[in-house]
Amino acid sequence: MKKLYGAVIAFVLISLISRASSSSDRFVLCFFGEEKGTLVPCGCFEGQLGGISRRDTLLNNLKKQGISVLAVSTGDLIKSPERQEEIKMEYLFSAMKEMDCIAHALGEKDFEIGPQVLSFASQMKGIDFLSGNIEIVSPFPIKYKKYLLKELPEFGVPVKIAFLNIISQSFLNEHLLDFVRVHDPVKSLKSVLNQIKGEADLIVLISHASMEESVEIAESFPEIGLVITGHEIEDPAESLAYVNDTPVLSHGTGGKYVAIADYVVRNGKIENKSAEVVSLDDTYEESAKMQALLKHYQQTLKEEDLLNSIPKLPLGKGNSYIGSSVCGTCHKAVYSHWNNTAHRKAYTTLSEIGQQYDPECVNCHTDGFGYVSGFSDYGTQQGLAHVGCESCHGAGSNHINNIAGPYGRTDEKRCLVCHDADHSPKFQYKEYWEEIKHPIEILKDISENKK
Amino acid sequence: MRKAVMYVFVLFLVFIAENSINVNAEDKSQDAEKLKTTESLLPKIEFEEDKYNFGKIYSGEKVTHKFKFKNLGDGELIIDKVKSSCGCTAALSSKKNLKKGEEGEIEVKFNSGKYVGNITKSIFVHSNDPGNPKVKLAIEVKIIEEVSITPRRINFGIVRMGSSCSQNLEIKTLPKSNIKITNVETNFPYIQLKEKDKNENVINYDVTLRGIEDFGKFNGFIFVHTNSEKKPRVDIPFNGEVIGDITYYPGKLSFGAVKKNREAKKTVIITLVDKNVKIEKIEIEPAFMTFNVSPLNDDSQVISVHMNQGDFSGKINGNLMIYSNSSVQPAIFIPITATVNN
Repeated sequence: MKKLYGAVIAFVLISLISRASSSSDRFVLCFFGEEKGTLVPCGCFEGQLGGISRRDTLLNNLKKQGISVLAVSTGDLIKSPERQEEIKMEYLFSAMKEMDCIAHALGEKDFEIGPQVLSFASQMKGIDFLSGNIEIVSPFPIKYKKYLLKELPEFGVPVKIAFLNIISQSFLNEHLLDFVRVHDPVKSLKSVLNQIKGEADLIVLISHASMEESVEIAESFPEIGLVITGHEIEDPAESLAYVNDTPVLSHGTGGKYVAIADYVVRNGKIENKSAEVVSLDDTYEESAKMQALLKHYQQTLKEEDLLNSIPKLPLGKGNSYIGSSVCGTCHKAVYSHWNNTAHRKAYTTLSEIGQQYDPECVNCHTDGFGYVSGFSDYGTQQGLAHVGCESCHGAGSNHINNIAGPYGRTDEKRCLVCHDADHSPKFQYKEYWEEIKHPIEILKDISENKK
Repeated sequence: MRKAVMYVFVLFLVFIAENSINVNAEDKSQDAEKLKTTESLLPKIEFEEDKYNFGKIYSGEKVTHKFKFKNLGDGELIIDKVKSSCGCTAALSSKKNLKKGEEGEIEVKFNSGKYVGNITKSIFVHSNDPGNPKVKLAIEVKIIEEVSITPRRINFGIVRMGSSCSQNLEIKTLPKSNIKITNVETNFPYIQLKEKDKNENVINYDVTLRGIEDFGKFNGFIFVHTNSEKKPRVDIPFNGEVIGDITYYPGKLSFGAVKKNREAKKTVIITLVDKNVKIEKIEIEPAFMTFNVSPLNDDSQVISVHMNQGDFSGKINGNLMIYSNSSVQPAIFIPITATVNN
């Protein structure tokens, strides 16, 4: 009997030890990028994916399990070279630093921000920049590496992982700038692979290229153990491919997913256990650290008064925005009805969550933002706050001056400017129209039904 | 006595184990029976087509297609969800539960919006068909523009004060469409537009930035007017930055919301573009802010700005002031903003 007890105790101990070693022998590589200016889901509808806050929680969850985590940003942080994107880039780098991100692989969109901003970020943000086939020739000192060799010392024998980055020439046509020299990506890759020959236990390629191009590269260079790729891939879980044993995976676009490659170290050798794409949905709690950073971001937008610094488009001759209350002087019933619609609360929904200084949000929550005489400051233009008459019908001053002239014709296309796939994916014109239908339309329906 | 208790305990364990084996055996035979019955009542989803090509549409147009499917199995088919990739909406336009032989439809709407060129979008239909629980459908479309302009944004980058800089703007109209470019203009006084060459459907413009008098970032639009009803005006944004003998980033030091009595730090990198220029003096206001300077390389220095606001609370509007021997930039004022909260 004693033997039986002994066997049971030994079994329990062995299983406990093996469980403990299974997490300490594991490491995961986490990749994210192609945010293109998305720090966090805008909040326009429920079920949005992504954001730095959930990403931080995901990484922390893995770390809490005792797993070694190497987080890598694959680049393309911004969508255009505007001031708001510069600010976002700075905050994304700060977020990466907080997440112990080891490298940022420069993407073709990142170069658009210009050498001065890249110089600042490379010098001050404490993250290694990777640029394989793009040589930077700038009067501003930009720190970058052709590859990064990262050593993981915690597995008894040191494990070395090399991270490489290339950008396909097909992606660079629109992004050519005078401070970069573009080299052939495959030739550059060959040269770097020769340099690191025998030095790395695992070679990871971040490939700014199409899925097809990256698969070809994986086929040509079997020494590469993992390829992170793809641009504009909306459903990355669907695009996962294997070239022999090399996973070719994408983290999708808009910072909505994280690509995770899971490895185990056995007898000093690395084995890939799995490669998967994790959707950053609301099952991941918002990280308090990132929430504080995002609040800070909104405060910066306010302090820099970005609402007033965007370029403004001109309106037609003599035309200007007048505000819904002015329309209400004549169109009393319609104005009164509008006061009870969701459009009338559009600005309030923003100010309640502290995003009323964010030009990207204000654009669809006010009248005429981005146009001369349109909304730019709540203090002096309260009449243009919310989605008012002129958001759908256009600036109204010419109509006041000539009420007989043509004005006000609008259709579904106008709705789709804001109710687009990113912000209002469930938009159905007929259903949504019922929600804002003007009294005159209601009356028309009644009279038609009577007939 | 202890031995007897142990024997009873072991017998009890054997009894439980045996019973559980019997129960398992019974369960298994019941499960097998169930499986036999349900196997013959399985649903099967079958689509008439899994891909649809809309052909050519104009940018901004909306198109709709219905994918028809049928339940070819014996069991009831239940459509769990319909998921689509961005830019298109897909919804079940028929009922959710379909009996044997019944037909259903998935309505896919695609809004070409800002897309251009060949686009493929996927739709995933999740159902209880065990053989095909997730069906992938695809729509293909070629979005054409009556007027296409390259580049869609002009980035002049960094331009030295006094120098000029040119970029090419290519405007293409759809062949045989009678679409004409009626005017190309800008309201930015430092940009000149000059028609370089023109053939039937392509016009190239030289966009030259010249004579800009202020340092810092600039932006604006070039307006391309057409006789198209769909696109009477296309706006091309442009941006850039004019620098002098000394340049710096960031252009503003926004500390954002800072907690009272908590230190905060921001940095600026200044670069001497003209090697003959020397920085003579650096000052900061308000007085409770301090700074230190460290070299980055021969031409660039890092200025770290520290805020030791102590008991102060409220808004801060200060400046980091850099004085040099430059004739064009003798004094640079970098604004500092912060809101100190309790």
